[in-house]
Amino acid sequence: MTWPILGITLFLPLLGSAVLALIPASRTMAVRTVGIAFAAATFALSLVMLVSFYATPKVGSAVLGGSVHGRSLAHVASPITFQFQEQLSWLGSTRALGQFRQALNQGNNGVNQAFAPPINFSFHIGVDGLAVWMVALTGLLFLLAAVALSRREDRPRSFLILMGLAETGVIGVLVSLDLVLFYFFWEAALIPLYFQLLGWGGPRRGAAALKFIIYTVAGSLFMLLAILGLYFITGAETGVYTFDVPTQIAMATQVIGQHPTSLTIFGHVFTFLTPEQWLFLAFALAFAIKVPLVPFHTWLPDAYGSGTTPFLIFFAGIVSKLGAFGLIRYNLALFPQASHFFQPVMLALGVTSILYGGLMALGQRDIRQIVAYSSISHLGFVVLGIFALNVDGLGGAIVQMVNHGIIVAGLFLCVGMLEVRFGTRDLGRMGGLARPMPIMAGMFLVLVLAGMGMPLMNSFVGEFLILLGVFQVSPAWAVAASLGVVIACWYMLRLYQGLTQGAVRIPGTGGEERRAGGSVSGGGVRDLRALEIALLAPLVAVCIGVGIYPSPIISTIRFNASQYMRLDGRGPQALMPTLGLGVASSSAPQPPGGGSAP
Amino acid sequence: MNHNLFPGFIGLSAALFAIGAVGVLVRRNPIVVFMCIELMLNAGNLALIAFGRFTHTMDGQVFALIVITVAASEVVVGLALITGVFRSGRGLDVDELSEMRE
Amino acid sequence: MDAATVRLLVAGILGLPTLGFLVVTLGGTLVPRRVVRLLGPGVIVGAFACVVLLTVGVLERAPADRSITVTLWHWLSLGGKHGGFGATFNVLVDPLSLVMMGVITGVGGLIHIYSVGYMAEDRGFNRFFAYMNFFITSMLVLVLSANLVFLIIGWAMVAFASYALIAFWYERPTAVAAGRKAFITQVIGDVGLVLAAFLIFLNLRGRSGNLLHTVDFATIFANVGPGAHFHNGLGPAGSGLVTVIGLLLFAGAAAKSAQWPLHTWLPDAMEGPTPVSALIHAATMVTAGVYLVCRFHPIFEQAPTAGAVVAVIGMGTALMAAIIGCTQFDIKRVIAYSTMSQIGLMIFSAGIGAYSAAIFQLVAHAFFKALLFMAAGNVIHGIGGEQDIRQMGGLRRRLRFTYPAFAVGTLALSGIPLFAGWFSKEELLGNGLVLGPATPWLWVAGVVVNVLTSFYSFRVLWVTFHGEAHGEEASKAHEAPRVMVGPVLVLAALAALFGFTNIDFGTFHPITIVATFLAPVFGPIARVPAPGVALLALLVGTALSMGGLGLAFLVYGRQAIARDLVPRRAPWVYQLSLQKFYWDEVYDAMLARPMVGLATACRRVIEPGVFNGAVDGVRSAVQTLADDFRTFQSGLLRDYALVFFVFAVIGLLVLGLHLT
Repeated sequence: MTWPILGITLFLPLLGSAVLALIPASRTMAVRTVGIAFAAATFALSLVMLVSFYATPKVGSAVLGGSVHGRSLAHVASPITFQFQEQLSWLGSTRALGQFRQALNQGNNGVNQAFAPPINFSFHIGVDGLAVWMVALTGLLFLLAAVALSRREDRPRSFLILMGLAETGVIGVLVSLDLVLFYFFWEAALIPLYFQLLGWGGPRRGAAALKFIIYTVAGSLFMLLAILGLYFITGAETGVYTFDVPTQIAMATQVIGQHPTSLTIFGHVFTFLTPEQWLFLAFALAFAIKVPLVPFHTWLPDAYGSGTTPFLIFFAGIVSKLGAFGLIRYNLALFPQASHFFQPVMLALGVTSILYGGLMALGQRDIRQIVAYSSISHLGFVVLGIFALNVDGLGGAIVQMVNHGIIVAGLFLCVGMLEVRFGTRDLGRMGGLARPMPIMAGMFLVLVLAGMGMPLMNSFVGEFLILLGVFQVSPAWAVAASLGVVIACWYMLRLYQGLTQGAVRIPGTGGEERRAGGSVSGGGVRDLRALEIALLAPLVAVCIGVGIYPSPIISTIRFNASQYMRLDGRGPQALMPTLGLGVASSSAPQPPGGGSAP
Repeated sequence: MNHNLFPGFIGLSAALFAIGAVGVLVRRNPIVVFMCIELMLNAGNLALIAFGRFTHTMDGQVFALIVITVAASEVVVGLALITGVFRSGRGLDVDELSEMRE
Repeated sequence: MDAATVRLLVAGILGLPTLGFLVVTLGGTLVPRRVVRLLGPGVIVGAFACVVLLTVGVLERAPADRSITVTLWHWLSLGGKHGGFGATFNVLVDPLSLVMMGVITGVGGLIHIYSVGYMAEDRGFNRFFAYMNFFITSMLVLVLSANLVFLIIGWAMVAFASYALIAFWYERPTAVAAGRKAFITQVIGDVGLVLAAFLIFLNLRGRSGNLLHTVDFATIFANVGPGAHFHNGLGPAGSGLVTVIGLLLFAGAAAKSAQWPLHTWLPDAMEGPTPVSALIHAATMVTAGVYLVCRFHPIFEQAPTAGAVVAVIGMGTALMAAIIGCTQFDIKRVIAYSTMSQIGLMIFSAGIGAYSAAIFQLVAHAFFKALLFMAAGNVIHGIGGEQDIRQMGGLRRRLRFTYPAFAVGTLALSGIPLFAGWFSKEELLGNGLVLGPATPWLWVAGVVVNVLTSFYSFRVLWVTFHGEAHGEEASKAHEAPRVMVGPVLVLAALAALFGFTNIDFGTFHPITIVATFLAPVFGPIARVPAPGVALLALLVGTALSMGGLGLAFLVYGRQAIARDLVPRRAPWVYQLSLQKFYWDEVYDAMLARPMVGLATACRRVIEPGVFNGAVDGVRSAVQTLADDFRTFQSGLLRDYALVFFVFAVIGLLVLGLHLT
């Protein structure tokens, strides 16, 4: 790697925000141009990375050093292959890192208890096949949001500045390879999102923003505790205290599961969960809120109901995927055995989300809420695929994450275009719009079909693989989830047909409906403008393109997906040496080696 | 100054401080409140210098200098705030400025 | 014919309709109507030409060598050492897919030409041809696919095309509702198909007992069921697994082919334009279920129980639909029920293992049913959109070409000797004497179906074309333009003559042109009835079919028997038939309403009560606590300072006490 493309991609939106802050707010045209230019540049860089990754999906730091319990890891691959890695030592200082490297080189003799644990935290970023797609999706959706920002929107400069901050935060979450850095970006992304939700949108946006931030922060608090817990547990076991994600993955998969499964509280010994399982739960709670899975979902309808359309494009499109991303990158990779332990629970939550979200979508009259609840239902599929714990399910889940980002952004765009035209979101007050707006109807149709998982659309690929993956684990869950497909067909058709078919009904501006007969063309309603077509066209094209030819996306993620599946040592290709169970073997702290060398 | 005077300095300092504190609590004119704060700071300065003298170190004087610096900056900021509030046409009454509620 | 030529022809077959679709869709209303008029049917006729060339090429090969696989593109692969999923878009050209393609592009092409006239006045002309071309592409993907994944993709694509065309006149609420019903039913079938695919993918074992993890037909069929090298890739014959797979596959087939219990969408689908009914809901898409069962014949042969279920449901649906057909008044609905009934017979035939008979009936049915629909379309076109046969009558004098064509279709449908339907249905039923469950009784049921079929077919013929004109429109009816009459006459000729390709009076043994062509796919039929029995069955069946004709003549032609005989004597039978066995009501009460009720309950009770309730509970608890503390907050700086001082003094006192 000759130039730090990933770091530039990460901080370019931030730079954009800084530049925007220097432009006077009154010069809206310049503000808009700069905002779009930076979003476009970020997207272009993410595409360059994507193409480069696609060309060589297996390149990256491949080897861990050091040894675990006397077994050399010199020829052992890093558990997950990351590309475009950049690492700058930060708090832990170069001294600590040097000691750490030295300890690795000296194998099991070099480190002892006296080795003072530095706060081994570095600016370490990199992408795997999952993250590289998510970064590209982020770039696309933020670009679309910047373009979609309405001319009539209040305070465009502030909105664009916050958007740049949010984009850096989101990309940071995706590319961080250090737990502290990850947590920092995870929280940092919330702040601009909160203010965007608070400052722009419907009348109930204040309550929605508050609900969103409280939910998310409550979840991430547990995650912070779990990060610290992980740091100290693996540190105590191995003598290597680090926040580095690849190293933690290599260590955590080996040492945490071997702990005694008891906790002593007030003298009573409870032996129901291992520390690994506690850590899993803490991480999973944060991510389940973000996804959201059904018992934790109530912030979503409020937030989706009150945000503006450009906000929803990236908020629904990418921010909700961060939860699913975290489930893969952290829960699956760090706690593979707990993942197996909690598999039934997570599958049950996934199926509940699918069915409950679908039923709720079926019962709504507000077109935004239909999309919002359909989003819950679709993300249930993603979680289902992740916790199928096999390559098919995980591959499907990753594909579906990208797909859903595209679809939900498109649906919210369409819904927003209708809202702008008619000033209402009531399904009962609109109808027959295919007559006055044929282009909108056509593009909306593609998105709706994609949303219901029609074959030859992108989400068929994802849902097929997810269901196949789940079917291998439990046919009953797969059958229950496929009921969700039928419900999805139902509510999506209800949405599409209600809006575009039937007699032409156009809500008038004075609150009175103009009822037009079959022969009236619904005059006065404009079909999509060129800009709106340009916004929807790439999404529609991706929906169809990925459905017809999903091979590129699959071949990019295939290698990393199989790596995630090997981590628990149960797969046929387990690379990590299996350690003996029990406390005795882990009592002598040993360095396991780390993957910090780029 | 001999050590016999030390309790006197401390007593004076405490008295000044108490006067300042009561002034802050009871007066409604912000400028008077501000002067009372200055009084409290200087009471502190007096105590610091007295302690420094008592222990034969320079620490007390150094602290007092720092406090004077802080007090000077505070005057700048505080008077600017008071002027700003006055200009906004809300009079000079601290009880009128109750935006902190809710 | 070399591989490159085959690939080129396949690309032409799939590509031409796609091209038509893309041009018209992307161009929208910018494409002039006269271009669409040529392009729409043109691409289909071009595809048909490719099919003919391909068939010629395949016929040059030896019979055992007539199955050609062409790889189009790599769909996805999660595979490798881990055994993840992978699929490639392969195309399978074999006699079965060639027959299907011939029907799809041939009959489809005629219907496209017909549509140029039928839809001429419609403002959605371009959209119509876009959908129609898309349908042809989808149907071709379905029959050409060499693996389960693309079969499913085609399966769902035709469902969408069918939806779009049923709801073509989207301003009619009934059409919109019918489209939705059809689509949701199809998705239920798709789910069955997907689950069957999963079971096959996950359980199919090779000769050495290794899991194969494949969805390719060739591999599946090579490892399942009877073949040259007998091998039970999915467990022993009749085992639970293979039976479940068979039943799931049939769930897909039943949804597509409108078989009980997934049949209620088909009559409603008549809301679409008549060419759509002819193309999709008579000739091609609804017969895809038959194709599916035939394509998966090795699995059904391994699962006799599933096969028996297929046969019984097929015959049961045939009987039910025939009974319903006797009392309906909408001309298109009568034909729709007859379609359901005839497809039931095909499904029955496929279920008992007489595959080539099923396919023969499929082809013959495509001819005469498309003919009937298009002729009915001419009638509807001629009398200004009326579809109720009670408003017609006496049309034979006005529709000089349509009348004989409709009559040929009716004769063929009724199984009158020497018309196509006679050959196909008698062959199909004859097999029922020796194959399948409940051997002679299903044959008896089939004969009853035939009698009812000829009864209601001639009822329609008489009421529509004979007697006196009943409506004002009917007396002013006019013949359709040439572009509509032409295809009808071509199909009439085919319906009249196609049966002779099946002629074999010597042995009553289905060694005929079609069966011979299909033999490499299906292998020899398991058993055939003895010639004597077959001849007797043929005579009895034919005589009874003619009896149905006679009965209709007595009721509606001569009016020797009162029309209200059945309604008076057995009103419940009449009501059952008129109300379509109440299936719509049953599903509405058992499925649709509970689902909507559940959704409403979620929205009204669970979401606000349980989920938001829990959140609000926490929120209000915090709020109450906060409100209590709020009294401290007066907003007066002095109060805050006082509190500060008080606590500072207390703190200092505590500190002082602590130090001393």
